[in-house]
Amino acid sequence: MKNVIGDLYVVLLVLLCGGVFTLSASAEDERVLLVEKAWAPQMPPTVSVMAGYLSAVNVSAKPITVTGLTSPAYQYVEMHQSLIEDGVASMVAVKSLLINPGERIEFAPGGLHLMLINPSATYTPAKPVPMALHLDNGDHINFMLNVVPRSAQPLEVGKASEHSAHMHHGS
Amino acid sequence: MLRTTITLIGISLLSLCFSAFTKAAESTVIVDPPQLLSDFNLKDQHGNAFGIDQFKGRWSMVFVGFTSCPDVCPMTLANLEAVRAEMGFRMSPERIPNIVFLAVDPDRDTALLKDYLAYFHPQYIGITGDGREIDKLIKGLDAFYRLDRKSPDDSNYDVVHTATVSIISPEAKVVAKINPPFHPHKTGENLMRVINAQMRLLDEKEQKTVESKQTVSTDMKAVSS
Repeated sequence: MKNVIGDLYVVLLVLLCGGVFTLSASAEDERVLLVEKAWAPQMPPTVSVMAGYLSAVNVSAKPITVTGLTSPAYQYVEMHQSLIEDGVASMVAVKSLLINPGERIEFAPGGLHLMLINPSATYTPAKPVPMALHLDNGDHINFMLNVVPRSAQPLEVGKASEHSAHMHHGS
Repeated sequence: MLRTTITLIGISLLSLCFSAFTKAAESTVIVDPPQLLSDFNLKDQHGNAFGIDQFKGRWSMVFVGFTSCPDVCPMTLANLEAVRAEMGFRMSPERIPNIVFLAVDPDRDTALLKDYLAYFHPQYIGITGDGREIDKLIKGLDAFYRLDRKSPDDSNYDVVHTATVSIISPEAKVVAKINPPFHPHKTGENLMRVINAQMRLLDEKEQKTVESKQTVSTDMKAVSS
């Protein structure tokens, strides 16, 4: 009896381990990045540079590198990091962004953000903006950016990710 | 005697350290003595002249920025409005500071300033103009900005600028600086303390002026009689 229980335990362990390995192997093959809460503050139509924000979560077991964004709605979309150091505000371009397994990156006011440059039209809350986020393996993720009126925007005080260790800044 | 002196110096240093720490933690720096601004000649978003006189008689918060600033400037303007709203619950309206946006990139700002500020709040004041006049006000505020143009044709350049907000008294003097993040409640509380303390000083000054005038008047009567 004791041996049977022992054998069953070993079989269960093998099955469990096998399942885990299978899941791991499967997750290793596909890189899954969730893009959530993508929004941009509504700005006057005369403004040619505006910001966009989102959350990106790497739910896979492999690191994912974001190499850029595009949109038919803007001439350029860039990633930038706002910095406030010694009472002086500046921005640096972020050329690529490494997101480790399980990591969530927040693009939020006062920190990492999208620069939406030269809009082709006036975007309003009734008209979400199509965007694509590009990865280093050539894949891309399509998502919609919601334009949020000023009255509905959250007040943000330094909630953006501090992610400088994984960012490749442009010159 | 020597021991007493050393002890007093020690206590003073400790007080200074504590005072500096308190100020840093509150992100509010008191400018002591307050610095009177030099005159300058700019225009507001409606084309009206704006110089030192326009600061007189009201409290103001001056924020240095530019209209092509997509992230920090909109966030700061929105947060400062929230600070004003917070102060509105506990302060008389004449003590709540105006928000003055000093736009330091006139080539791009002049045409956009009116629309840009109307989007945030109809009462915001935006000022800009000739670079030399901007620099006069920047110097008075002990602030800083730099246009990071890579070439004369570069139209998507960044502007590095002071992120602190200067608090200007109704005498057109810089009395304090507040640093980001501008938390509506904490910053509002700090500003109320600064403004109330300054108003007490102004009241005392006015009281002394009245008293000295009364003394002179009494002396004159005594001389004439």
